[in-house]
Amino acid sequence: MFKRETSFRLNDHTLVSNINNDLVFFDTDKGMYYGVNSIGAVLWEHIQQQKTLGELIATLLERFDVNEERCWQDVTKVLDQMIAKQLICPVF
Amino acid sequence: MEYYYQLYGVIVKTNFCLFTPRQMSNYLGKVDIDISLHQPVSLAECSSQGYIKKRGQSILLSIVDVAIFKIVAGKKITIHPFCVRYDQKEIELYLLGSAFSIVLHQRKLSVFHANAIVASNQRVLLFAGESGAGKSTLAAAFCQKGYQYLTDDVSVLYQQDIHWWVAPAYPYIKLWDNSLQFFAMHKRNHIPVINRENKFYVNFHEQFCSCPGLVSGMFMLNRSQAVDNPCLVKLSGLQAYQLYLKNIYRIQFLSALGLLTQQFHTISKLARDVPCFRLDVPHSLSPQNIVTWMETHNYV
Repeated sequence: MFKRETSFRLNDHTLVSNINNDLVFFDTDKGMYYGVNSIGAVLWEHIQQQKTLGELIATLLERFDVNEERCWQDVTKVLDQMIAKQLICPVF
Repeated sequence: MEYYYQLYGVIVKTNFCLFTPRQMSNYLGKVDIDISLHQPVSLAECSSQGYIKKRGQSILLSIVDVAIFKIVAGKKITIHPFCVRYDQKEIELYLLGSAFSIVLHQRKLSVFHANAIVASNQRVLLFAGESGAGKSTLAAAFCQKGYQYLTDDVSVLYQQDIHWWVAPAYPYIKLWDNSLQFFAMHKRNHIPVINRENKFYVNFHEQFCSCPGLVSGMFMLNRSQAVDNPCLVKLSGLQAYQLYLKNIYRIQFLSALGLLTQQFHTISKLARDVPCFRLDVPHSLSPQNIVTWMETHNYV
């Protein structure tokens, strides 16, 4: 489980490119591609700025009409997936 | 005897005569790729299975019953046929297909399975699509209406300044037997493609454009039962990326060549720079009517 203070970074073997607001992650070790839609891209924009999970959620709550509990669930789910695919890792 | 050809944006020298590309006479300039056909390999080297192997700067490509191609650092291809009585046209088919895709990838060019048509504003449109969607037939329909084309099957793209260019290939379009009827052609007048009894080289010399062209769009031709009329759908960034990725020519060679990372950067750039569309077309629509529809909507 992540804490509010956790931030994230791209894994060393991962490259990312922004294509008209969509994102593609490329795992150079496995030669695998992962596409992320524009919502994921907004998430990535903030992760990249090394925002903590707490800051990330706060920004999203301001920007989108969603309650905090739901936002927390959705965001951690996406982060879990990205970590499971070894695209990003948490920074403690 | 030496022969010189220009195709896919490179100048090649060969020691045997090629059938499909246009020969350059009295050429004295620099050569990009040196191609030589040698004596057949000894029986000991024959293999019952095809393979691709990396050996330092070289790639060995073995095509069962045809030849071993050694492709060196984007500059040289040596060919050793498997049997004494080989067919030069068959060698050429694999040379300009698989072996060339490797040498072009080694030269950091982007190679896609798509054809390239010159639109009325002189910009080039690329057409990709599943096998059987009718890419070549569509290219032929464009030719019949007076449009020029740069390539029927394989499009080689490169970036110069901020623009993307596509290089001309050779002045033939490969058509299936059942596509010839659209153009009132008969198979007895055309040379069959080796190993493809029902496919023929159709010569469109007059419509062939031998200068590179600026690319302005990529279309995926999609035969669909869900539509009654053609329909053009703009693809998102992610969909455009997937379209380019899916249509890399002989993508299975890229990991053997260690070029996946390079390809990632190139495709990302292409997907950002060149807009992509899906062109849904009902099954029953003839290639000529697709051209007419595109003209009516000012897409071409």
